[in-house]
Amino acid sequence: MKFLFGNLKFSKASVQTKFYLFFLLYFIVSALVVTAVKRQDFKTCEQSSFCKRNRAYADRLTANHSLISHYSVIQDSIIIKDGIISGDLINSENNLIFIFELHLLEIGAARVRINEKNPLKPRYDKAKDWALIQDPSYTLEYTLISSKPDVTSLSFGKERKQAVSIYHSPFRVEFLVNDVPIITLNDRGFLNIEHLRKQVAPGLVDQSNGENDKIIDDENDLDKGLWKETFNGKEDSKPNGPESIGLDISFPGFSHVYGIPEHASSLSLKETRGGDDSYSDPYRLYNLDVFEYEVDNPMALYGSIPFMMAHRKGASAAVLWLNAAETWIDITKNKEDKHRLSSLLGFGKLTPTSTSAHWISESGVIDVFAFLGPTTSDIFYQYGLLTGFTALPQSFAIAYHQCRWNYLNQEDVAEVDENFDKYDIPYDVIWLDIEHTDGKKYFTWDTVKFPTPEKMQNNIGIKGRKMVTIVDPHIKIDDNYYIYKEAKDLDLFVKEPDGRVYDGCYVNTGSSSWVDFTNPSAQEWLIKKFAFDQYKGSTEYLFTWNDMNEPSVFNGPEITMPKDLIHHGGWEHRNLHNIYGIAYHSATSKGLINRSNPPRRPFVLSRAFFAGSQRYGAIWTGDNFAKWDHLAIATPMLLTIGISGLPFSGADVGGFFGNPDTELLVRWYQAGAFQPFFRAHAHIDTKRREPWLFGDPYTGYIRDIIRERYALLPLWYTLFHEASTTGMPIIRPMFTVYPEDEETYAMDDQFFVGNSLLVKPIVNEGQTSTEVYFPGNEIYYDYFTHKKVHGSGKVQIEAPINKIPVFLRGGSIVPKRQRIRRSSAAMRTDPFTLLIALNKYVNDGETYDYEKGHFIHLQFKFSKRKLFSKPLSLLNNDENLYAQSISSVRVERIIVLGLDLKPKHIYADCIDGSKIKRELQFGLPTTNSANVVIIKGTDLLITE
Amino acid sequence: AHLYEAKGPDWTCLDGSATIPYEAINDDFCDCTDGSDEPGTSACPNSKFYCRNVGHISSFISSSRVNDGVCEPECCDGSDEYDGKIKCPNTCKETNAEYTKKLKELEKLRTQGIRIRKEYIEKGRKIKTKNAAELNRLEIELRAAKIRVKEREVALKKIEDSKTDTEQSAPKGNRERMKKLHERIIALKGDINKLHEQIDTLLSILKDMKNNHNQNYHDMAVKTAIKAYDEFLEEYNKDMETEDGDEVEENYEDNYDDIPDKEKPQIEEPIPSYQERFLEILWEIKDGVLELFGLQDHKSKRYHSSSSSRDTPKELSDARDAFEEAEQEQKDIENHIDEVKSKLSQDYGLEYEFAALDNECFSYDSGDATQKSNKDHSSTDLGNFAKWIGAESSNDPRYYTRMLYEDGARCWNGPARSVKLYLECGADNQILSVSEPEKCEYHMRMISPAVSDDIHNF
Repeated sequence: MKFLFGNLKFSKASVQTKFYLFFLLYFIVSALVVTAVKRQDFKTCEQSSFCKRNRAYADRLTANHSLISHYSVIQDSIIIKDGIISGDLINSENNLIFIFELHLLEIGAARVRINEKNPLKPRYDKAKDWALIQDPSYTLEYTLISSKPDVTSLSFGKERKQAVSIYHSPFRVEFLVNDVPIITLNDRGFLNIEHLRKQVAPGLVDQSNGENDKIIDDENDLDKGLWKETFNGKEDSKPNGPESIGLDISFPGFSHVYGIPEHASSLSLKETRGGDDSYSDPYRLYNLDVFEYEVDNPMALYGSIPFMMAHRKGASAAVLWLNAAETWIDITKNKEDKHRLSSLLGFGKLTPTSTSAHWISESGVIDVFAFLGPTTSDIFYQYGLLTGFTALPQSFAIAYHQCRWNYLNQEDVAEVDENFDKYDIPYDVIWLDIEHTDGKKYFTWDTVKFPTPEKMQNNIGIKGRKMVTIVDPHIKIDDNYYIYKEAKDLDLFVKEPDGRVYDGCYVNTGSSSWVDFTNPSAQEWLIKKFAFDQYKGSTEYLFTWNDMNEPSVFNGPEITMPKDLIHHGGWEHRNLHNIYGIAYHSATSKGLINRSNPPRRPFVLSRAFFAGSQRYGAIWTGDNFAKWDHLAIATPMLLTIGISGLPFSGADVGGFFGNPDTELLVRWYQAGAFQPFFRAHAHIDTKRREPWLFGDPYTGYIRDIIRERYALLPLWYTLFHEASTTGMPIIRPMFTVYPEDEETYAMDDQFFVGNSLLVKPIVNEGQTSTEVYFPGNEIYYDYFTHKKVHGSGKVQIEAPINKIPVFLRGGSIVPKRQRIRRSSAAMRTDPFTLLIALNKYVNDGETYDYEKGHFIHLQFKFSKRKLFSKPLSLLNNDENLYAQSISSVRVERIIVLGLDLKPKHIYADCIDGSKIKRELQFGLPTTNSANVVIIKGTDLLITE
Repeated sequence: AHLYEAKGPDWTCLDGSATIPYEAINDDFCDCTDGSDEPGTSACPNSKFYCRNVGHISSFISSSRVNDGVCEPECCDGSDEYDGKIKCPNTCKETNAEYTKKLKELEKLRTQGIRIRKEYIEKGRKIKTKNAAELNRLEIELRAAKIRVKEREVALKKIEDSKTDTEQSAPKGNRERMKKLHERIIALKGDINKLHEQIDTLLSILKDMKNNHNQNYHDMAVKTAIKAYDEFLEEYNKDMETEDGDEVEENYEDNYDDIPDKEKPQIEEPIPSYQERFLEILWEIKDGVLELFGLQDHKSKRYHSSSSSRDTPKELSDARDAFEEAEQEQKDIENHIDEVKSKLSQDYGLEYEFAALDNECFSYDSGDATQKSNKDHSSTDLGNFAKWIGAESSNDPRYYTRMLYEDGARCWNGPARSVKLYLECGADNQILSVSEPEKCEYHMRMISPAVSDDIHNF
């Protein structure tokens, strides 16, 4: 036994003894074997009784054409008042009465609500409290077109271009734009509301209300699981019995629908009733922690946004199915239009495809918003007005983030920080995962590894950098842990059906309880916990990461909470499962806002999400894998999430599980640099993979692309501003930029950043060239070389390992900053470079002052060989503190691509003539084949 | 500064990439490809900014650090921040004082280190000489031992030859021996049954783990163990199937006494080798499990087959013992030689300075974990010295500043443990820090006077 030249030994605390067990088995196994997701851990539609019942209901109607919807409007029950059309429906099968309301909204949308008229007890209707910024107001701009016994029709909107027809028997609602139907509810008759009932005897259904309750179906076992169901040995007690809702929503004439994240699937949604390139199970929305998820799969993932958009030439439409319970969506497309509607469409000889979605939720009421467009940008705006726009983040949040489970201690953090400087790679945020805590108790620090957290944060904060720590919702049961003690004393935990506090298991903490964030007192309480004097060791440089908020419960059914747990107000978990995450995210976000005075913009990354999460921060696509197919699927996943109102999203660069080889890692960095949230992250069992560990040329490639992200931060920031005011996605599917080009409708391997950069990430091993589709008649320039792309449509493009195909779309102006420094904050007062631009937006990137007009928003226009700068905000106003603070910031360089003639003189001028006309110097780089002019703008102020 | 002398209205970039008006130098716009026109601004990303640092040592910083809102420690005069965003005080006086103090301390340490290092080199030389002498001595001994072995082998052969006839004419003694062997077999079979029971217990423990573990937790270790268990089970079951064929033989052995002697099999391996191998493994697993649950006391006493004592006349046994003893002696000497040789061939540094540290034990206490070289029964093997990795070539002075230890105990979920030991020069031997930047790969920093000081330029 020798030290230096012999053998090293390491004795640790007793925890290490358990290593032996597995270590010895290694004599038999040689390779680390990794299996993919355990599908059997998660339900299929067949295993979820309400999904099975609603599918069977739909199948019965589809199989028998003489069957029609059982629901019809009761004669003369319709009342039209103040933008609300209401009436009663009767279900002919059991004679139960339902009430429906149709709201015509100011935002260019309509809302349809259906509930039981006299339910046994109230049905859950609080999803709206989390998803909507407020109850939308009704429009009075409408005209009754016809009020016949079989149909009630109104036109609405200022120009009365939108219309709705309510067909009475069977009940069917049709929305039209310019007299063309674009959305139809209950076209196929799948409307089904399982009324609340009393359990007569175990397994039997109360039939007092109806003659033949169709739920009973011995042949298909459909009566099973009405009052109790078991999955993988875990029982759901279901004291309220069946209470599901179902409805088909069709988009006549649309062959592509998008949205309903989160799924590891394509942008254009697939059919779900079998067949080629189709799924056999519906898309599922049920926030779940899925270990090593599979790509190209409709299984539920971490977040749910029940928003679906349809697009075709000349029209776009969308719906929001506002429900927080487990939801399944079957999608079918009809090529030869069998629908009863076909005659109304009037497409002539065309045989248009129609797409229909069958929405099925376990409980709650029917609450559907129909967004009528007519363009995709209209829909983004309408949806944003309803659920809120993306909160404008602090500027560091859109820069580069460095994360790993885990940076071990303060020395490790300091070393990583130093190495970024040493290798001249900028970064803004370093992250600490669960190991930074004292025994996985959030809001605490492991004082051995992190003895002086404030000092650590100040050391990086001085360089303009920030830190993020993880704060998860499971709370370790330990009376000596102040967070647990407080929550217990305030009675904030989620309860068992019998009233005891729920005690679940989270592997990292052991026995845990979960705070019920749907309880207003719990919100208030958590918000306070982020105050600097409460969260010891936190500073203004520290921000937050909410993980596991689906919620992830390791010993629960499907790795989440049992559905029969009880929340605030006595509501069962099943009603609100999908909003647990947003409720937590919201409180955390408000906590960060409130900790400073004046308030500062928060940054909170969440894994779970719902409609409206964009108001609270960023999300990421969860625990992905260091495999090429996971890199590839990130693009459609993020595009889908982006068009569903939540554009601040990203996928872990490098892949969370497994070890990426250098090629995959470089390609992942290149893709990540063009995604809104740009963070590298890795599992604790993986090799270290900080950029400098690979050596040149790979480290150089990674450095180059991170630096390019920093150069483009002004563009990203402008796009975030646009998203926060108009709802436009930041990375945009091709069809949203070229809505008339059918070629782009299913395209999801390339996209636009804003409207100016066309990006196609390389996602295949060994690939060095790719086909890029250049839409429209624009000229495209290679972003990096400024060379003109020859040809249009599909063009083969070289993409060696050091290059991601990125193109500048002709007619756009991109604001850049070409002095790359170690953090975005260090670049705050640097001059700009203009590379052909449309909109440029800058503010101090940190406070809320922009709401008071303290920002600069310039519109640049290039026409007739003149570049115009038009302020969209008040520049010379003495009140604009931001403009004053950067009054000396210049536009140092203007690069013009594609000028046909070489200029002789270039002048700067002020429109109001307040300054003398100045001649500018310029250069014509000889090394470049494109007609490039670089104008030297040493004295052009941004505020001029 | 003469490079920037005004020799006319224009000035040419140092790389010749452009000719610009003289006023364009430091005009905060990058004109030259090499950045040479902007030595005093942040305009050229590839340029360097010069801090005069009067009163201390001047330095260059990257131009991206100019006017970035951070006072660079390299620019004690504060000249890197001049746009008014932040005021950097001139700290050159203090910096220099501290620097001078540190320099003195280092010089002291250095002198001390050089002295100790000289001692180490001296000690190393002695060790080398001693080892060489030892090798010489052992080689002589080995020659003698070899002769002894030869002699005794001849003697033994002689006795054996003379005894063969006698043995053959003593069937009774033989039968007696067979009977004893038979008893042993019965006992061994009992052991095997017991082992089988224990295997079953272990398998059921593992099976429970497989069934009850949380499949969604990202624990590669558990997953790997389960995978291993499945594979083991498959092979085990396969093996058990073939085992069944031995059933007949076992019955036949049970009635040993009834079988005519001639037909009695020669029993050399009571347990088939594969089974023996995995029984061995299972013993270890079982002990591991017991340890895991804190039941070390219940650890099984492992079965070891001892060579059967043979009922041989004293003369023969003496001869055999003598022969075996001589053989053992030869083996011991050979082992010893190997050891000395390996020490002699070990790379103890340029001047043999690390030899003095061979076998030394250093420990490090880092709060929750203790790092020790040996003597601790509950320690984990982190690896054996593999090579120096401070630089590509051993001529590089940095070559002897980093050591790699490999093939330590395998981690439950992946690689064999390994250590990178970073050495710096110092006045004594001391482990500064131990970390595990990724699973089962440890980094240690250590100071030692054995490290040559000329690799450090302050």
